[in-house]
Amino acid sequence: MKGFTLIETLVAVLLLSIAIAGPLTIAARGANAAQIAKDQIIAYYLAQDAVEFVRFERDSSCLPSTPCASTGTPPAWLAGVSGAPLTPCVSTDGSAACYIDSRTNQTGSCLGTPASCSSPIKYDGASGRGYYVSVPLKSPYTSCSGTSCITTTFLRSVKIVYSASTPTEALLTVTVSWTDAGSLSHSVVLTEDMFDWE
Amino acid sequence: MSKRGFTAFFAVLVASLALAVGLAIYDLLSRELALSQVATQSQYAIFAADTGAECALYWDNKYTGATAPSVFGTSSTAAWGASPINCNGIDITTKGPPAVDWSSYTDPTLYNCPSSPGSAWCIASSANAATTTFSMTMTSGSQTVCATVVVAKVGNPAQTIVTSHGYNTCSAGGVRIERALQVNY
Repeated sequence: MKGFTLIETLVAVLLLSIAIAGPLTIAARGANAAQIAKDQIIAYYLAQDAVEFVRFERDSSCLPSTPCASTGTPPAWLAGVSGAPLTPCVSTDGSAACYIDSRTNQTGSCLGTPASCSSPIKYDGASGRGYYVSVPLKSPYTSCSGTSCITTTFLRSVKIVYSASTPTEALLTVTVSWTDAGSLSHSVVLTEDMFDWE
Repeated sequence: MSKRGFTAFFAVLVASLALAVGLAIYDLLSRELALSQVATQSQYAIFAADTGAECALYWDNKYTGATAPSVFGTSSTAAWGASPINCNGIDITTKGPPAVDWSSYTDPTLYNCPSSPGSAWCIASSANAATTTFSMTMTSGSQTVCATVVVAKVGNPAQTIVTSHGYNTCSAGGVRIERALQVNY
């Protein structure tokens, strides 16, 4: 009888350890999946933000008082309103890429210094005021600082590519990429064809 | 009555309970992941639709190469649009099977062309109204997205309704999302 109980206990211990280890693994994977899901949603909103900004600049540069022109380098309709903020994003061969901080209307080339597209976007947790690029911001805006300034894992770059033979059309590509806790890379790429129709 | 087997019985009971809870959590979270991916795919679809609408707006506003009032059909007397009309480097007047043009739609009661993605440029018309349908494809990240655009012109002067349907994938199967935009002017 005692021998049977020992075997029974061993079997029970084995079953219980499987019972504990299985769900724990599943829960860990599930938590990871939840984090990826959350990041993916943030990433696509970040991508949408940049697309909307470029469209806003395009639309604003083609108001009736200042008609669009598809001439120039880059074409005027692609450069954006005063100061031609989209110029660093535009190229004919896809070599130019830029960062965009839509809240402060600030743009700049990814290729310059600091190479902002390779440093992650920051988030101001104190004000909940959206995302900042990791570059010194134009006055009167200031980059967030202190413990409430959260450095996210998201990188974002914007490319606008047009063909010199058809300067009335341009392909906008916004890439948001990030690395999850398991060091796996993810990205959300939004593309849109824009036309000089205004 | 034998009391042997109780320890194992309880172990199995606890194990199955724990497994059930674990599976439930996993199911919940994997659905969450799928949902977030659907949200991203939905973005692809809406921007495909927007591209289609912009293409139609551009060619309707800026095309000057024809004697007709618009490159798109306006009535049964509308001329076949001058080819090529390029959007994203693709001639939208010939893109995709089936290769039909407006002459295949001489029946004035047939107002709508096939609207499935991949259908070619076609004009269906009556005396003072016409519908032009075309489709276009583009690459978004690693996948190909599609848009089917219907340009309806009614009356004289024409009222124009551009309806652009965007799809996150060009073929049936899998998670397929359609989002549409309509422009009236």
